[in-house]
This record gives sequence, C-alpha cells and structure tokens, in this order.
Amino acid sequence: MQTAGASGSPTPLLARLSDVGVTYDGGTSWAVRHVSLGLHEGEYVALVGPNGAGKTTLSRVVAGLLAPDEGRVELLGHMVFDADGPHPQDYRLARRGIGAVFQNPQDQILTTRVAEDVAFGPENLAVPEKALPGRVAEALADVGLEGLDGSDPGRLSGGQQQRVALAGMLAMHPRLLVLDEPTAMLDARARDQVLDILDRLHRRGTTILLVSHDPRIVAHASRVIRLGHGSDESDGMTGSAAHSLSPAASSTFSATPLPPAGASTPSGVSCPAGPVVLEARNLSYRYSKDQPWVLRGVSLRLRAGQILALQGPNGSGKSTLVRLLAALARPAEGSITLCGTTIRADHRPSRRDERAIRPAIGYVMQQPQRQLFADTVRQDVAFGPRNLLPGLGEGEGGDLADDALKLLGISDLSDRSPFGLSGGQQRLVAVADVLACHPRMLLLDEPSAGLDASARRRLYAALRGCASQGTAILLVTHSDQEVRRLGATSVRIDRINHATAQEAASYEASARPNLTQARTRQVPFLARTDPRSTLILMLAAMLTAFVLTGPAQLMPALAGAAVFLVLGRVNPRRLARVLHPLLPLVVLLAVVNLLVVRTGPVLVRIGALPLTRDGLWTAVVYSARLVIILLLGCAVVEATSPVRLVDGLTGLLSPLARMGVHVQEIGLVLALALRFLPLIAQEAQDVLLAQRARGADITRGGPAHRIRSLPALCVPVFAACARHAGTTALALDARCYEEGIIRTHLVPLRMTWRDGVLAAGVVTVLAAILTLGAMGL
Amino acid sequence: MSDSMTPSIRPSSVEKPSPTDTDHLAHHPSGHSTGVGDHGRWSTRRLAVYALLTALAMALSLVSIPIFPAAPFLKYDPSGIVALVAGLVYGPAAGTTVGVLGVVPHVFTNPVGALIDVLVTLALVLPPSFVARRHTSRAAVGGSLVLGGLLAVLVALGLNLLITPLYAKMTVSQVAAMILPVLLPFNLLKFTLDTVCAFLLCRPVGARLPR
Repeated sequence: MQTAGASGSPTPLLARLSDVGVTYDGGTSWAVRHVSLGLHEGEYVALVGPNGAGKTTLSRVVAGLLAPDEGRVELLGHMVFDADGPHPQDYRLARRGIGAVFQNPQDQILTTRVAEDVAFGPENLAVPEKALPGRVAEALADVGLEGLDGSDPGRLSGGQQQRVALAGMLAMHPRLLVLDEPTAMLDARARDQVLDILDRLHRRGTTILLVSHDPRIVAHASRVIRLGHGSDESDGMTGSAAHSLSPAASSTFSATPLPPAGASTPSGVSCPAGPVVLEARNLSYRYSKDQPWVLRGVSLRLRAGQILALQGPNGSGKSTLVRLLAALARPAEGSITLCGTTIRADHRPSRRDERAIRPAIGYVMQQPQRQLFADTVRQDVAFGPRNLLPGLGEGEGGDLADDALKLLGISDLSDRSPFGLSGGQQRLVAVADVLACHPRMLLLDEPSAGLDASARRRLYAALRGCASQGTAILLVTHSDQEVRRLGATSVRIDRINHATAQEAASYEASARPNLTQARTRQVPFLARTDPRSTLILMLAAMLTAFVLTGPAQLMPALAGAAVFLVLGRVNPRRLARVLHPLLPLVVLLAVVNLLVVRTGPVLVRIGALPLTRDGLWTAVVYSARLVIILLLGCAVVEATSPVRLVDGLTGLLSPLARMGVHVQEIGLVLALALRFLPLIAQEAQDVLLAQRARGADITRGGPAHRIRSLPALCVPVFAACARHAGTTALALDARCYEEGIIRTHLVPLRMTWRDGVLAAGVVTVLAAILTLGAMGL
Repeated sequence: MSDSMTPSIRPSSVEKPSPTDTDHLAHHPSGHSTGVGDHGRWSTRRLAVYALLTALAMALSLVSIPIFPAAPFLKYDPSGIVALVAGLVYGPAAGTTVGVLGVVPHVFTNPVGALIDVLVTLALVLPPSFVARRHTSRAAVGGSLVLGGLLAVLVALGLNLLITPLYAKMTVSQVAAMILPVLLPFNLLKFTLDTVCAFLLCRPVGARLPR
C-alpha cells in the first residue's frame, strides 16, 4: 500500500485514514488492513488493485458508508471513527458532503422519474422546496441530460442511467465524490462521456476518488493509489495461473480431456481449418413484431479450434446474437446449424434436438457469477455435467468439476461457498461451470468485464487451451487487447449485422423521445390533480359501482367512467391492451349471474338450465360494475406516474404517523418496490436462460428433473435480488436518507381548483345514481 | 469495534481471498455500522429488503394457479408466502408492510378484493410473526403458522359471505351453501400451501437476508 505524502500540502485533507482495517469474519481474514491514506481537496485519485484487494471496501470507508473495525477515519474534517468506535453525528455531517456512485447504475435509481430521482438527495437534506427545481436542472445539465427530467430512468441506456446516478449525487453539491467502477458496465462511448464529466467536475474543484481496473480511466487521475497484496499487479488469489493438470487427474475422465492451462501459444488459432461447428445463415431477430429489427441478415461461421471475437458498440445486438447462437432464443428469419442440428425461425427444436445440442453449447452470460447457486463451488461446477452428460456416475461429475477448477487455477476454492467469494473468483467459478460440461462450442458474453489482470490471465490461458483442443470459441468483447492476447479473429458486428446502421439511429431516437413525447403531449387533467384527491375520488367512484342495480343507473356511471378516461387522456389502443387480460373475469362474472338468477320470463333453455330475462339484465349490470371499476383504475394509473401515486398514498396515510406508523418509510418501500419489479423480471429471465444452458429447466423433463432444477433457478434470482437490495440500501445512505428525517418535496402535494372540479363531478354522478336508485329504476 | 477479537499481528495481505462482492458487504453479520440509519427496524438496509420482498409479493400476486379442480375459477397466488417469510424473519411490522403493500396494485382493478386480501393476509401473517419474535423453536413457529393459517381461513370465509353478493346476485345463504363443498376446501388447501412453503423457506431465505 503506497500512501500519499500527506504533509506539507497547501490544500486541506478531505479524507484521512490511519491504519484502517476491515474484516468480515471477526478477524480471521482482513479485507483491508493497516491502510493509511489522505485525500487532498481538489485531487483526482484513482484507486487500483487486483480483485479481492479491498478496493470496494476501502472506497466505502472513504465515502462514509461503512465503518472500519480498527484505525481512525477523518472525513471532511469530522472524526467519524476512532478508538471509541463510530460517531454517528459526525458521520451524518460528513456524509452530507460526500457523493458515492456504484458500479451498477440500476441499483442506484430509486424512483421512476429522472427529476424525482435526482431530487431525492437534496430532499433528504431538506433543501428548501423553491431551490429544488434549480438543483435538479443544474445537476442534469452537468451530466448532459437536460430535458430528460420527465423520463423513466428504467428505460434509459446504461450510460444514461449512470449519468442520472451521478446527477443525483451532484445535486447534493458534494465536495468529495467516490466512484466504485462507475464505467465497468458501460461501452466505450458511454465510458468516455462519464470520464469527460468527471474531468470537468475535477476542474471545477470537486475532489474525486475513483476505483477502477481500466488503465484508460486511471490515466485521467492526478494520482494513483495501488491497493494490493504486496506488489503491483501481483496475483490477487491463491493458486496460480500456471497451474497444470496432474496426469492422474486428467486420466479420470474419458471424453476429450481438458488441456493444461497455458499449453497453447498466444496465437491460439492453431487449428483454424477445423470442421464447421456452427453456421448461422441470414439471421434476423426482433423482440416483437411492432419493434425494430435488432439483427438483420447476419451470417457467421465458427470452426472447431477457432476463436472469434465479436466487437461493436452497445446496443448493436451482440448479446442478442450470442443468445440466438446458444439456441436460447429463436430467430425471426434465417437458420442456425449447430453440430448438425438446424434451428429455423418456424421450427421449435424438438426435445431430441434440444438434448442433442444442449451439451454441445457452453454459454457464459454477462456477469455469469449470477448463475451460482449451490452450497459449495464443487457442487455448483458438477451440476452441469450431471444434467447434460447422461450416464455419468456421481463421482465422475465431481471429477469433471475438479478438472475444470484446476484448469482455471481455482482448485483451492472447491469446498467454499460460492457466495463468500470475491467478484473475480465468482466469475472464474462460473466459467468453470461451463467448461466442466466439455462443450464443443463456447459462447462468452464479455467474459472479462470487471476482472483484474491476474484473473484475466487465467481466463485467457484456459480459453486458449480449450481452443487448442478443438473447442470453437466465440466471445463478445470491448477490448482490442483481449483480442490480441487470445489470438482471436475480430468480427465487427456492424459489418455483419445489416440492421445496425438504421437501428442505431432509431435506438438513439427512441431513447430521447420519451421526453419530447411527454412535452408535446398535453399533460392530462388527471395528472395535474392532487394525487390524494385522485385516489380518494377514484375509490369513491369505484365503490359507487357496487350500488348499481338497474340498467338505468348504468348510464350516468358509464358516462362518469368515460369522462375519467378522457381526463386521463387514455389512448384507446392502450386501454384495450390493459383490459384484455382481465376480460375473462368479466365474462365469468356474467355467466355466473346468468346461471344464478332464475326469475322472470325464460328466454332460452339450455338442457335443464333456464336463461331468464332477469338473469340477462343481472349479468349485464354485474359485469358492467366490474368494467366501470377497471376503466376508472386504468384512467388513473395511465395518467398519474407511479411516483405521484405513491406520494398520494403516503399523503393519505400520513395521519397514521401520529399513531407511530412509519408512513414515510412505508411510502419509500412502495416506491422502491415498483422500481424493483422490472429488475426482478429481468433477473428471472436472464437466470432462466443461463441455467437452461446448464441443463436446468422447469418447463421440460420429468418431475424429478424439474424439482432438482428449481433451486438452480430460484437461488440465483433471489441472490441477485438481495444484491440489488444491498446496493440500493447503500444508495439510500449515500443520499442521506434516514428513518424519520424531515424531507422536502420536489413536487409538493397541493390541492387546486382541478381537485374541486373532479370532486364535484364525482359527487354529481353519485347523486344521479342514488336518485335513480331511489326512483326504483 | 472488534478490538478485543483482533489477533495479534497479521500481514496486511490476506491468506484467504477477502470478500469484496457487494453481496457480502450487505450481509456482514454485525458491525461496520456508521450509526446513521443503517441499523434498526426501519434502517435503509431493511427498507431495501422490505421493498425487494414487496416487489416479489406483487410479482407473485399476478400469478394465478387453479389448485382446486372442483372450482377452477378460484385461483391460488403464492404472494402470501412472501409476506409470511417477511413476518417470520423481520417481525410483524415487516410482515404487515410487505403483506399490505403487495396488494396495492390490485386496488386499481379490484378495490374490494384488495381490502379482503389485506385483512386475510394480516390474519395469516400476524400470529406467526408475533410468536417468532419470542420463540424460535421449529415447533413454536410451526404451531403459530397453523394458527395463522386457520385464522386466515376463518376470515376468508367470513368475508366471502359478505363480499360475494357484490359480484354475483346471490344471497348470503346461497354463498353459505358453497362453503362446505367449495370455499372451505379451497381455502384450506391455499393456506396449507402458504404455511408449508413459508415454514420450509424461512430459514434458508432468512440466512441470505441481512438483519
């Protein structure tokens, strides 16, 4: 650990750490120990080091988000931690001046509207309500996202999301900005945009601490702090890349033995003239018929022993292409031939095909560590071979696992829980998961993103070894260096994908319009009422539906619902799409009523069942009740943003706060839950696909197989969700949220004349219905 | 903080690779708290987990599986399991928060049904969450789950008597006639599924959630 020359500098120290140590297991091992460093006002410091060196831990100590176990920490002039332990009040004060940005932008976004998200921090600092819009506009301008304030951050690109997260911090006017690999998940262009912003902030006097692996990023810094176990770029893990397979181990299985790591020359394309393993002809793909093409006319051929590197900008369809080639999605046009089996647009692979091709394909998704699920590393790696290679004895699966672990130089991890490993180690385990299945073809989606130099070396050695043994490899990468070190043939996706040119343009266009659309489209009346009154009046109107008994009352009720739809400016096509899945319920209700009511003149007889006129009218009225409720709900949900609805609900519940109910916290939980919903869906979909490539599938196979597959699907989804929740909690801390604080609001709840008009309308309709009811109609 | 347990002198390099994954940071057993909103029942960490569980409950509440062949229109949704697990792991406040908020989306399509769901979920979740706070033995937790399940069946049947006439032109006695053949077996099956799943899941899931 090299520390800064702290003394004699003219600028004050913003952070001073002395002899800091952090342990996660009560002192058995230390994430960081005896670390001392100082950050001066105005510095731009890069914190580098191998995976597992404690960079993330240290950055959180500096950000005031994590208290160490020993040492002294002084942040922004506040002694926040010393021999007496943490000092909450000092932490609180220091944190107000420190911004923190994390790796995954999705976890840092807390609401469903950009402006609200950026305002969240200043609201927690109780910045006066008049000053809030200015803060938001200024911060968005700083990150170049002016005009996107009304968009849903969940729909923005990764780069834009990270800039929103950054803006959320800037709006709090931090003196010190701590960023933990903020560009690891971004493509080159988005990365450069973020780095430009940081350069500009630095010139303006903001102090920056940036954790990174990337030498291009480190070059921006004015000082580099290397955190490592001893020397620079040393092996961060136990075991070594040059680990070779012992003869005894390699003889334990009969299939093509895995080659010893590092056996091949750096130019791993030693046998490029092998047989064609995979051939894609004229592939096209889009997510649905009303969406633009992601891939168009892509043709590709991959031979045994060949390493192809697929390169190109984000959003150009690389990951989609890999998923198609892994037979995890079907093309809309064209065909893929995998080891003799052909998949066509109009032909779902049969079970037999599936069984034939699945073991041949090794698919490593982006961040494959997300598919880990078993209790030990060895069990996790043995899961694939047991599923995919039928007739394998219990022991043999374990042997294959051991060999794969050895190939990647991580045999020493085999009895540990995959969840206690560092990110880089988890990645290598996930690669071992796939290598253990001995696929004839390996498809890897950015396998080295976020890996340190040592882990990358091992990965390259293992991949080159596999290629020299005849495995065909296709990988997605952003790094030219990686292409060189693997001796891979580079394929530019923009050259082979004929959709890219137009699609890239329409992608850009579709990301922006969110807002332009919101601007040009008139804000509906229902969006401008106070959400509290909207909710109350909606509920009142819905309950009114239950007093409808006669056809005459339906008229004012339906008219009222129609007015709601107009006030909410609900697009009829959208309305139809929302109502469509609920229609069976309406029909069911009608049928039940038709059968239950047997008074009045009989219209038809179905067997012994008489259908009467009363029954018919009852069916109409009772299903109309349901339709009216659905229309009202649809109008409100379509017109009002989730954030506003949550605000309204919180506002309505606020009297309960006097009874000790944590209304503000409950409101925040609801808002965060709405943010998490799409994340969970995405995670579930990713894990489902990734585990299918390892033979786990709950939609196919016998009950025993399905039940065995269940933990392989549920555990990773849940672990991923828990991980999101963990980072989200830190994002809340970084934005100074605390139980029971007094907050201000960007858009305060305020009743206007519109609420009066809406209330009068609802009361009028209610009165009409009751009058008609009293008249016996 | 843990000065007393610090072993004498160790090299700054660690023998075992140290965990740096965010997953792990969120799970550290104790300590590392700055004392600012990061511990206690409504800490930021807890809020994020409640939100996660609420989102899971919302997602599962959209699932509908016909479990009772005699009445295929009665659908089972597994969201009750999530509320139960929240209550067992974090206590009544969390169980109530997750159970109630998980129903919120249904307010816009079925307000009365949502109200019933809330009441039934509270009957299901509150007894075990209060018991689990004091007694952690499997017998006590299991017994309280049975209690909650039975209470939920009673509440569900009672509310069905009141509510069904709003949706179908039936008298209370007509609905009552449906209890024995349809409503009772369906609800027994439903809450048995909920409680058994929660009983099996609460320990492994609880172990993966931060306290």
